[in-house]
Amino acid sequence: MTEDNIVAFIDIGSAETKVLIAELFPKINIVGNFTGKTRGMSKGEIVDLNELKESVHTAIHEAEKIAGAALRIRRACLSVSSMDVGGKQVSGLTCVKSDDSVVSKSDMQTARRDAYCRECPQDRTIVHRIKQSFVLDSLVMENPEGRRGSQLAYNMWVVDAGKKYLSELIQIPNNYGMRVEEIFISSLASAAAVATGSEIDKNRLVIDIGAGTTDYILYRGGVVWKAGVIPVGGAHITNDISAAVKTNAENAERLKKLGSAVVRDSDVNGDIALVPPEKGLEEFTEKVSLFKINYVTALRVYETFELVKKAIGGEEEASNVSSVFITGGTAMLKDICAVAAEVFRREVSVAEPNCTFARTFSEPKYSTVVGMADLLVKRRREAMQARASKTFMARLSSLFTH
Amino acid sequence: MLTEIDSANPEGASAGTLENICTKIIGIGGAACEIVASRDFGGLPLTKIVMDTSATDLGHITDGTVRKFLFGDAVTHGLSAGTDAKIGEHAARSSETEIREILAGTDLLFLVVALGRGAGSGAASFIAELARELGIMTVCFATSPFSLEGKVIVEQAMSSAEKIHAASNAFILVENDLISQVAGEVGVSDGFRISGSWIEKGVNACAAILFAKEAGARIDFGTFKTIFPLAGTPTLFALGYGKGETAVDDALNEVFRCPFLRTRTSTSHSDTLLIHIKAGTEPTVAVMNEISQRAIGRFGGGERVLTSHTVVPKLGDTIEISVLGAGEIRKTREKLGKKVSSPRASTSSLFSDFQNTASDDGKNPVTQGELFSEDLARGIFQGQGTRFYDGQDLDSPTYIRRQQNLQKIYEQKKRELSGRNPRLPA
Repeated sequence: MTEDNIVAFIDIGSAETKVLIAELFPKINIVGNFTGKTRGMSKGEIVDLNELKESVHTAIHEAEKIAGAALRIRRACLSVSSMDVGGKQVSGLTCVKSDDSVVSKSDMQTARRDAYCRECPQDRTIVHRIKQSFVLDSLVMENPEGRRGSQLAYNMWVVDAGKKYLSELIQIPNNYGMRVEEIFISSLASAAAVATGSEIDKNRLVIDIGAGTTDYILYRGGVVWKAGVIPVGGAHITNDISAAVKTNAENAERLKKLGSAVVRDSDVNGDIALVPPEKGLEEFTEKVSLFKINYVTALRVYETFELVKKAIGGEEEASNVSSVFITGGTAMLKDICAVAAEVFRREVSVAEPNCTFARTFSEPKYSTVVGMADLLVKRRREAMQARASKTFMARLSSLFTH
Repeated sequence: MLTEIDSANPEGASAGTLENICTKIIGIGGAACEIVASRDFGGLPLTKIVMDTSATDLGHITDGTVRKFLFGDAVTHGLSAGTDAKIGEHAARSSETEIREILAGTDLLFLVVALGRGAGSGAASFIAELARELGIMTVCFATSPFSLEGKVIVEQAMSSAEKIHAASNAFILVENDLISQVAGEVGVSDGFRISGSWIEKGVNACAAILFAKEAGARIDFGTFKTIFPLAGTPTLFALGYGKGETAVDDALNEVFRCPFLRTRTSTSHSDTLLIHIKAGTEPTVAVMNEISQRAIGRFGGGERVLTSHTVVPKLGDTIEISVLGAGEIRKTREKLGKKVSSPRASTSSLFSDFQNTASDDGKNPVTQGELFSEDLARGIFQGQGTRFYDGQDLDSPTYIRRQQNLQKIYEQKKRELSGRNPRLPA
């Protein structure tokens, strides 16, 4: 097994760090995994680098143990989800140069090059350049070659991140002796893991709600249209419950799992035991109002979806969405889809990773880490195909030369 | 230029106080001036001063016992600073000499500021800085704007709060968003009135510890200062009232749920603790002990707890408890590179950790406060900087930002349902 065929996929979330170790070829095979508690990170931000390193290294080590001591894992893929990660649409422009105004390959390359030349601020690094479409005289198209027009634009969605944040993050696997091969934004990875492969994917909105952040990605016509991060997640629901019923975070976390994102009339007379009651002592256990728990949860969840809706462009963009998928750890919150359906007025479902290689990782919280493996394999295949095609062309050309 | 429009009580507050302490309360900006001028602060020996850039707003204050000062006339020409804190700050800087004169000789300064608008947000941080430079112990009460007042106002308020906090020995933020949690659904003007009354209660409680003329065990100003040894530390400040047989319980429960605890600049893990009890009859040792133990259990402070009490017969069976303290002293000191004044009479091992931090190896020993999993203030986001998104502090619970009084909504729903379905209890 070559060293570059085995990769550790590391999803450092605000609450949990998930590590999958997988062989990539001939087909993806997960050989090790571990999910551990994250320390030193909150809302996607690094609050204590040493603690974070320690907790991530422990998770990697545990996953390695499962994979087998003989394996040397030298490559890693990281996910990023933080307010330090930003995104914007970038356009490259060119005029169609031929006399007959027919777009040539060279025009397409010029427009693309112009888009790639757009600089990002000095303190930021580009993480992804995702192709969106060509626009020929305001007509959107995938391939404008041979079409007539005067101005050609090449649009792409550019994701960038703060250099300091990225370098600190990359340091973590580096200090473990791993080289970071790829970095993926969480939303992109999650969307890859939960893709249905049907027509519905073309204009979908995928919302990955973790503990500290909510990542969203909007597709239009099958390409990434917008992606971003909102610094709110399941931990905020826990915190709200904790404040509402005056209890600590541990109890509030438990209450969150028993509650719902929808308030029903029957909740008014419903009480939940603040702590799990001992057998026979149920009557004497302190109880808290289910109505209050669900009420604060509903408000927070509703607000989160409203913020996502606003971020993707409001009612107008939301009306173009074919379907909404919710994933991430907080997707397990009871009735969360009902609230999202009310906000987006669309069909909403909880999405689980559906990649065949990860059948045992079908919980929504694994979407990002599973999606990373899927994306990396696709990228490598594309690169291999490009190399193969280049080699073939070179051979062909040398044949004619001789 | 600073112009004295009207002046009263020229002899200042120092004369006649028990400790000969010169205490001033300064309201900065329209809303804060209104609070300072309209509240009587229980007849405490305070010199009331109101400062604003708006001559019109100052003109509305007719109380002759209040000193009024118009500052930054050269900048704003007697008009308000609008909503721009930079103009407020510039105006205050232009009147630096006169403001220094006002502050001169002050021992204890209560700053009252309504954050968000230009004069208060801009000038208060500058004045707090001057006070610190002059070695004045400064206790600042600030109100934060409602979330509904918009992104610019809220962000300006928080930026100013950080600066004032860094320059004040104690900084108590009254978050207007919390009003509906405590007082139910109220009109906007009532909301401002309520935050004014919270500030009044806060100043009264603070000053009563030092100046109460009634019988009891007071603490002196020197001891009081050790409670807040450093500027910029998160402040613990909570009040509670109880009456009748369950007075102590009720008062303590109120203390533990005090709105002052649930703000972004407060702390519920205190390194120092001062408990003041005001009651109709002298509290017994058992009562004092119970209150201390429960307060220590909740807020920390180790054995370095100062208690004081005053007996006010007209209170009857009512009891008032105030708890004050400062948290993260070590962390703040490390940040500032300054040494904390040594706390008195401490023998606890937990507290020794705190005392020995000047020579520690950089590792953080667990303080008593850190042992509590429950955080009364900002919950699990306590201690993390406020990062705004869409003009909102999303770490603050949604129901609080949206002024939803849970208890009231719950009761209303219950009534509504019992009317519809007679089988449900009212």
